[in-house]
Amino acid sequence: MGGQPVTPIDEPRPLPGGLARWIDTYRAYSVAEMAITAQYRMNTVMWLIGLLIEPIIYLVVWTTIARAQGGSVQGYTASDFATYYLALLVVRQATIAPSPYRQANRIKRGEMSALLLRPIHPLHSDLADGYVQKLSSLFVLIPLVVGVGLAFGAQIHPPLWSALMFVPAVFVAGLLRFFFQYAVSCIAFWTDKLDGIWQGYVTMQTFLGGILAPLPLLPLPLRIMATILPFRWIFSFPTELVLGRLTVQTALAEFAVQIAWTLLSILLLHLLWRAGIKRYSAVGG
Amino acid sequence: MRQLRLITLYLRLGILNEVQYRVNFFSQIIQSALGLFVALGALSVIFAHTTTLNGWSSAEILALVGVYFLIAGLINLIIQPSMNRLMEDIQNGLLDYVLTKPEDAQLMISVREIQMWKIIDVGMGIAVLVAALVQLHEQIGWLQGGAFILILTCGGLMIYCFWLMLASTSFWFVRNDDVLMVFNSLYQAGRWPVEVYPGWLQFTLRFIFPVAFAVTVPVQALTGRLTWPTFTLTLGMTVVLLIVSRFVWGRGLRAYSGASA
Repeated sequence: MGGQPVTPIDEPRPLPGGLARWIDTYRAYSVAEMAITAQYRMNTVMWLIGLLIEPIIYLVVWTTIARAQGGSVQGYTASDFATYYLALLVVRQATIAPSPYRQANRIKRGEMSALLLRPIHPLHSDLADGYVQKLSSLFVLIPLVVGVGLAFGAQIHPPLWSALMFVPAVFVAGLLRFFFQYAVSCIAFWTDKLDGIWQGYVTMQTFLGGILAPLPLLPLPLRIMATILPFRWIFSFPTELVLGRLTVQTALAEFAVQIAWTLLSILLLHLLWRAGIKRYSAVGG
Repeated sequence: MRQLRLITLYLRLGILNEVQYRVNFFSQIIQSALGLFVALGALSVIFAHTTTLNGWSSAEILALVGVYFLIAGLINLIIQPSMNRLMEDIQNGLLDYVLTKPEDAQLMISVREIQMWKIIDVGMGIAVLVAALVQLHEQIGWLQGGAFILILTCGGLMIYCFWLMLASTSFWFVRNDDVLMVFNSLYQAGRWPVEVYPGWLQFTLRFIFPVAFAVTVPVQALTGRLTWPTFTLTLGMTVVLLIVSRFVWGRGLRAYSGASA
């Protein structure tokens, strides 16, 4: 009997081992997420408008004050504020992490059960989703930021080392934000609802992350709190690198703090996750 | 008169419905308190570095914050929930139930849904406004007070008309929640006097999403900055929007084919 050799279709492709396996995994998650994102293009545009409006509001308010004060507020000129807020916008977008509400909902509705059955920690799919979202929205955001930057007279002239350091700083900031928010979302294992907690979190972020005002403009007690808590290391530190106001020594020291907070967040997440998963008892999903 | 009874009846129903969920009350208190905290915090950080913002004193900005919360409270209390319900009902054909009732449909869809606990934002807005008035009392006369209430009413009506028109577009386009999301983020801009913004944003806040007329202009009236042209423009735009939104709603109804629930 001739004809085609029969290929067994139900024999699973052998899983690659080691690093190749992880790359494979992340690629698969990314492709899936890209397909989803592409369906909601209009959503992305609307969301970008929403994203742009808050920095523009604070930027305009501070620029107005700088002009009224004869050009600058504590050494920040109108053009510095423009640079600061646009850099901050890019940092916020580049470090975007999944909303803890998503996690809380998974826990409340029992969807977590299905995720836990997979032979891989749910964290990996979230991390991969996030990075697709970031890349696709940065693609749209960068031209917008350049446009708004020109309109508001932003000037970028940080020293070269500072600009180079921006890249790893944003990368670590992204990890820190991801792990810290994930750790916070684990609280839902105990409370089911996150409303009050998350609103409190966002409020702290607004003040202590340098969103309301560049941190040097805040009163001393808030500046101290900002140094202790992670928000500054997520948002403010990479942004200040773009502004080019830090000395090499300060920047390196701050980078070290940023890495330390990232490791601490991973530890925190690990502990909260382990304790939380023991409490988790939802069915279905 | 009958319409007024109908409105009160619907409001009572809405309230009774929401009072069942008392936990929402506490989460709303937290949410409102944090919102106020950010607003006042921003105010104090900014006024630590300046005495006026584009000619507005801190007490005047405080009045603005009060009106901002008051209007936001009203939007979230009744306008947004009712309009969301309207859009949902258009999508799944449940609007039939409203249309078969022997009353004006626009009136009914406008007061149908109420998120009671948002009343906290309204109360908070009034409290902040009173705090600002205490500081400002010397510069406010009866005339300004009257103009303020008149303009505030106009501003509220304009926001209502705006939402009604947007919600009515659901008769033709099935989903447009996105535009409403943009409204919510643009509304934040109302917390500061609209003149500080660049021209294109001012234009957007006045004539596309009429936030300026609901927040900045009433406070301008209160603090005696209202010019005659703005006053006439506000009244004129309110009348025009009332008519246009009624027209859009009517055309939409004609396009509605029901889904026969």
